[in-house]
Amino acid sequence: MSLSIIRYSLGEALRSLKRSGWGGFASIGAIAASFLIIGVFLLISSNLSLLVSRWKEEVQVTIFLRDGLSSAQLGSLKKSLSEEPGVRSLSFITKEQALSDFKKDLQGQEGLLEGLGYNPLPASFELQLKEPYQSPEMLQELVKRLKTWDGVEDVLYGQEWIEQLTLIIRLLKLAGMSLGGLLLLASILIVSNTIRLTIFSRAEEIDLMRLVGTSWAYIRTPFLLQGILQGLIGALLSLLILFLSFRLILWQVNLAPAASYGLIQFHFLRIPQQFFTVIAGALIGGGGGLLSIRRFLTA
Amino acid sequence: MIQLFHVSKTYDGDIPALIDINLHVRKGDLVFVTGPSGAGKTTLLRLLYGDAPPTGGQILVNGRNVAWSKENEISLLRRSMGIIFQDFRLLKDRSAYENLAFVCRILGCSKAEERRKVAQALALVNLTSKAHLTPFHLSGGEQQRVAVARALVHDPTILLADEPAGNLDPVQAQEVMALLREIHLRGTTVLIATHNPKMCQVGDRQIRLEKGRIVEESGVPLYH
Repeated sequence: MSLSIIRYSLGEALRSLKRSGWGGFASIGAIAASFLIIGVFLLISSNLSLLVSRWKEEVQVTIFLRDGLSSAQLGSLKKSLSEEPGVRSLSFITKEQALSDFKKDLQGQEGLLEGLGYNPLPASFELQLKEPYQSPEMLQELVKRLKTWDGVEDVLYGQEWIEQLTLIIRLLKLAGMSLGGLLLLASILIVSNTIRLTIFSRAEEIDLMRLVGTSWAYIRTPFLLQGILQGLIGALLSLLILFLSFRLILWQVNLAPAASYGLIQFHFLRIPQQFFTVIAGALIGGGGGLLSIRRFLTA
Repeated sequence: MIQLFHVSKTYDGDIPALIDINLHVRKGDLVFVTGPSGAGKTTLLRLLYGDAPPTGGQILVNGRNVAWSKENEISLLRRSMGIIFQDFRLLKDRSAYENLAFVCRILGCSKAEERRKVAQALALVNLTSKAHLTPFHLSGGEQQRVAVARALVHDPTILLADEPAGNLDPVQAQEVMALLREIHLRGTTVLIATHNPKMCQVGDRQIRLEKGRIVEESGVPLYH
């Protein structure tokens, strides 16, 4: 394709875009809305994924011990636990330390424990697990085994809700992709319709171009470019809205204590994701253009 | 320049528009294709500029077989032709100048070339003073003259005119026909399809079509 075709087509595409008025606005708006929906779901799910993966790294199994174990029994338990293949590290929490931690957690309501007269909290081992042993199946198997050990009262782990959250993330992604995908399909039709109207409004010109021997590439390219431009603008617009909304929400969230301690960190869509959005926008717009061209600009 | 060998054209499978047409038009000829409405005049011209493929036979234009030509070859073929229609087919929202400049532009002329060619073509049809007017402000005859200028602006070697005076009053019709004769005298091969035999003069080459067949030819013998 020669440079003159590209230059002419780009000029014509921009002119058509300006002239398309509400139709062009609707096309760009539809693409922007579709990508915005996909972007919102993607942003939420990827941030949740990040949180979950961080929590997974910290996955902990707490082994509560029966009261009155001898130091030999404790030593033996510690040895057995450290020999377990999935254990990355372990720490021993005495009954006293558990009570002191609990008091700290109660923050100002320590008086609740005063009437108790004894320490009800058991001593425990806290285990950090290696990555391959963090799967629900491996965890369940380990917990089941640990529960049978002598001196072990109970075993707790916080994996279940992480798994549930992972499922929710998957559902969020699926919902976003399905909803956004459907809207993108509709966008293709809207772009196609806008370009169809442009083709009809320029029917005389196109007819004349054909009669004087203009090549089909020369006639069709501006309409294809018009679609691509609509798609590009729509996708960029969606990224801009998403980014501004993200910054606004982040500003609000950063006021929360968890964020100020660095416990929660959010991130915007990664550069490849943004790049993919823009390319997908161009493809969607181009697809709409192509649909009209194939239907209305054939020999 | 233009040769047709046993050309036939059928629409919708069984409606014959042209039957066994043999024709030879030499470079610089002026040929009138006459006949009543529905005789096949427009179809004949459409076949020549590749707007419809023939059902049978071969068509050679400038040595190129139109029947076998691909899209891009048809485009190239049309660049050597100027086409005029009964309904002018001007861009209504653009001035006479812009109508001509549009053709120059899409055919890749430079700005300077565009200005020169448009000015020449408008001068030829004597419409320089009305170059800035849109078709709405021009009479039928003037509009057809703009259409003639547009057909000539890219210097075609063949001019095809389909009922060029069909929408004009007798005076305007004579003016347009005189213009086409002048263009022929400048060396362009001209084919004019008309239902009105009065447009022809004694000595003109005339091919009369009836029900898709050539029934009479005067001026030059039938090509076999």
